[in-house]
Amino acid sequence: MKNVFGKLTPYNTVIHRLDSRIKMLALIGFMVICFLPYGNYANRFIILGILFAIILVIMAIAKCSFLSFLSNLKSLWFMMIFLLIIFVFVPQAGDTSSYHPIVTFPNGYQIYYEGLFQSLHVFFRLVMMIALTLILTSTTPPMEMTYALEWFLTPLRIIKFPTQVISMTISLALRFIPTLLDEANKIMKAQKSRGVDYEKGFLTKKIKSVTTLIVPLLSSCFSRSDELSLAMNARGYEPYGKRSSYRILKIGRNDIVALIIVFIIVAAFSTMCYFTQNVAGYDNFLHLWFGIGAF
Amino acid sequence: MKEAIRVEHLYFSYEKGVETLKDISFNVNKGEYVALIGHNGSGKSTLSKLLCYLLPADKGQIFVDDIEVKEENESLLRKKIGIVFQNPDNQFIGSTVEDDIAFGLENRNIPREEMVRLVHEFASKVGMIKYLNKSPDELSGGQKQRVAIAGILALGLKIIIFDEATSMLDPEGVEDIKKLIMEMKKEDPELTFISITHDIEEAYISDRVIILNKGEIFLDGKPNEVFQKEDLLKSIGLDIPFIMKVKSSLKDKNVQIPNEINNIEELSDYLCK
Repeated sequence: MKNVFGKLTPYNTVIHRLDSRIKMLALIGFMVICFLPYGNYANRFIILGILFAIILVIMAIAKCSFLSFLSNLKSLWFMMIFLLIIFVFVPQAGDTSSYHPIVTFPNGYQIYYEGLFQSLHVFFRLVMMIALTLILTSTTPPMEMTYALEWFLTPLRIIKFPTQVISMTISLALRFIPTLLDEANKIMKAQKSRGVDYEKGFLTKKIKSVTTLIVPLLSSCFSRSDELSLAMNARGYEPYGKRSSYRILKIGRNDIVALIIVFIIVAAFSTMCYFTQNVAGYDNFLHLWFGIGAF
Repeated sequence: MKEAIRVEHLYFSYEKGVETLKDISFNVNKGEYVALIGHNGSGKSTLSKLLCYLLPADKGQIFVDDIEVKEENESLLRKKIGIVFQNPDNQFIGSTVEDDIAFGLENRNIPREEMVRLVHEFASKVGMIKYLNKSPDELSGGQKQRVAIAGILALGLKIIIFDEATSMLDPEGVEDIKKLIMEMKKEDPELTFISITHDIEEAYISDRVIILNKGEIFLDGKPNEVFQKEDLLKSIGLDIPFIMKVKSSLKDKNVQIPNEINNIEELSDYLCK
């Protein structure tokens, strides 16, 4: 499971205790302000820097391990190169006359500062998204996220959308991830003992050896689900029947405070977005105030 | 004594022409502990699924607590009879012990306060109260089966089928579950157990043994009587319990052992006299 999400940390911080619904709402709010445009690049980097500082503070409160954050980022270097190639070397569309070239090749092809900044900007947003999701997943058990999801989907019940069925499916999937990982490990060991090599060889050989893992795993998956459905049936499960719920989600005082703080942050950044976009003269306020070159 | 289960002329087949169960008829009284034994493919598991209406019968009738087993009565049956399966992992539905015990209660739409009370009551009854918020991968097989049993007891079911529930457990887990069954029987004499098992020793401690062979009832009676018929059992390739083996070898050597002696401790005490 730890490869899929950040692993749940065994602390009991304020963030851990927050209601999962509030945390999910906060995640959505923060992601939106991450992706808002804040005028020119100088403005964007400074405002996103402030946001990143806020996120780091939250990470510290939640006792998120900075190491796991870095290891999550490690997988991004490929993405970064990809972004650089796309934004820097692929010719920009539209009017580029106001852009600032870094180099001009003899054939008239130009590389712009704007392209470089754009790729950095996207990369910065991605880093923040990873930090945000890491905070959520390391402080919230997967099951609680399912409960939150079910709660958010409740309005869909009006149009007879089977929300309980969806959340039951998700929670069963989450429940069986460790069981199946365990099974995959056992099958791998069994096949290794029969001489299958999962590490060496070319890609084609590797794919072939992976089938020796996938086929038995799939067949055991099916027999498991068969038995599971029998067990659920025997215990009187009716997907569309009325069910009560053992888990209840309760909003406490801390949750309301957190919601208000998140609301204030989102409102503040949205205002900044508004001013950097629409109010004449404010577009380059950093340029005006600090003399930072406006791009 | 009242009947818990009555089976009348039951037939079932998975494929045409191959009868898995042929003309099965038997009664189980309330409070009885019945061991159902037989080889793989003798139809034991099929029979247990028919009893719970997880499979519909082809012909014949089953009554569970005077309710006929058929589609219209399915929800009524779920309030009478429960089943513990072989693989402890595949029947663990909740993400934690308490969620799993509560699963059946949620299906019955029981109010939350009542659920919390029942979950705690039955978790402590099966000795899992300390593990309430543990996830299944932190539990042993025997503990998972205990949770499954608690889930059934919490629903107030009086008839429990164990479909080889101990066959995937280590010896310690097996002893654990056997002990739990005995404790539960003592506490509530109304509880009826049907245990499908390969374990001859477990069959020996039951109240009654039914032996299935090729889809038919081969023998039915008290364990002491059934396991006397050593030659008959050997003819279908079944073993007899260790204590019976010892007694019959002693008999061959002209050592007379009284019939009341039913376990190893009693036997050794008797021989040392």
